[in-house]
Amino acid sequence: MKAFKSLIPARFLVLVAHLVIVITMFWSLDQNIQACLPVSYTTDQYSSQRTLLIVLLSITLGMFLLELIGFVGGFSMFNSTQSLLSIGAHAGACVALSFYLFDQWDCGLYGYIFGFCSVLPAVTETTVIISVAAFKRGF
Amino acid sequence: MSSKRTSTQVLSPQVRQVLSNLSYRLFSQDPSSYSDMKDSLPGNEIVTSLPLQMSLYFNAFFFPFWLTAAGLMLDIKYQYLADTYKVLLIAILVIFSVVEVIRVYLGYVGNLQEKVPEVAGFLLLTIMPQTPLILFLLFNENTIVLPLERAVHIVEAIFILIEIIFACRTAGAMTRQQATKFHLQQFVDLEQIPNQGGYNDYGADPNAPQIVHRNVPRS
Repeated sequence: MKAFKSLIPARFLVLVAHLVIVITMFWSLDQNIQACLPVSYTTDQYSSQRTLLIVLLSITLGMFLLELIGFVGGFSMFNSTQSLLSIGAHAGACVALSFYLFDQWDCGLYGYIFGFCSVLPAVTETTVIISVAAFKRGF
Repeated sequence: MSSKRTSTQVLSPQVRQVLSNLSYRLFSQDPSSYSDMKDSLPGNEIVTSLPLQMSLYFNAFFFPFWLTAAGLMLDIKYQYLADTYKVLLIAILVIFSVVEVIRVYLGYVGNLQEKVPEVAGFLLLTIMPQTPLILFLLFNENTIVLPLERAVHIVEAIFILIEIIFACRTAGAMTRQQATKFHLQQFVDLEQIPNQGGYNDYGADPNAPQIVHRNVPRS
C-alpha cells in the first residue's frame, strides 16, 4: 500500500530528531542541570545529578545505536509494527524532551522519558533482530 | 532357450532413486559452478551500491531539516558574530545548500542507473565543497557553534563520510565493469568483418582482389 512506503523515511527522521535533541542535551549539560535542580542547591546535589544525567544520556545513545543497527541493517525496516512503535515512542520522546528543556522540568522526570521512549523501542528492536537472525521469522 | 540372465538388480527402484539423489547432491559440482560463472558475467552483475543508495535517500530527507536548523541558529547568533564570520557563514550556507541539492540528485540517479559520469561528479562534489565546509562549520569555534548546530552538523558529517566511502568503491566497481564489457565487445566486433560476396571465411583480408567467376560459353 502506498501509505507504507512513507513509514521508512518517517521513522528515520523521528529517530534522528530524538538523537539531535539528546546530543543537544549533552552539549548543554551545565545549563540543563542548573535548570532542573531547585533554586538553591548544593554542590553534592549538582554533582550527583550530573553523574546521573550523563549515565542516562550515554545509555540512551547506546540504545540509539541498537535501534539504528536494526533499522539500517534491514532487520526491522519493513516490519510495520516495530516501525509504528518506534515512531510513536521517539516522537513522544521528542515532544517530552522539548518540554523538559523549555519548561525546565524536574530532574527526576528524565528517568521516565528515558524508560518509556528509549528503552522500550530498543527492547522490541532487539527482539525483532533476534527473531530475524536466529529464528528466521518476521521479515 | 530363454536367457534368464537378465541383469537382476540388487537394489529396489526406490532405494536406487534415493541413493542416486544423495550422490548427485554430494558429488556433482558442475551445475553450481556454471550458475556461479553466469552470475559473474559483466552483463549480469549489478554494481548499484545499496548502502550508498540508502544513505543518499535518507540524506535527501534530512537536508531540509539541516537547512532549517542551521538557518535559525544563524539568525539567532548573527548579531554576536564578528564581521568576517557574518559574511562567511551566509556564503557557506548558500553554497552548501545549492551544492547539496545537485550532489544528492547526481548521486541518486547515477547510482541507480549505474552511470559512471554522474557517480564521479557526485564523488568530486562531495569531496570538494561539502567536506571542508561541513568540517569548518563543525569545528571552528569562532562561528559560535551552538549545541543544536553541533548535533545536526554531526549527523550531516556522518552522512558525507559514509557517502564518500561507498562512492569510491562503487565508482571503482562500475568503471571496472564498463572496461570488461568494452574488452569483451571487441571480440564480438571481430566476427563481423564485412566480406564482398564469394567466400565466407573469417581469415579473409577484405582488401585482397576477389576472384570473379564468369560464365564462359562453351564453343
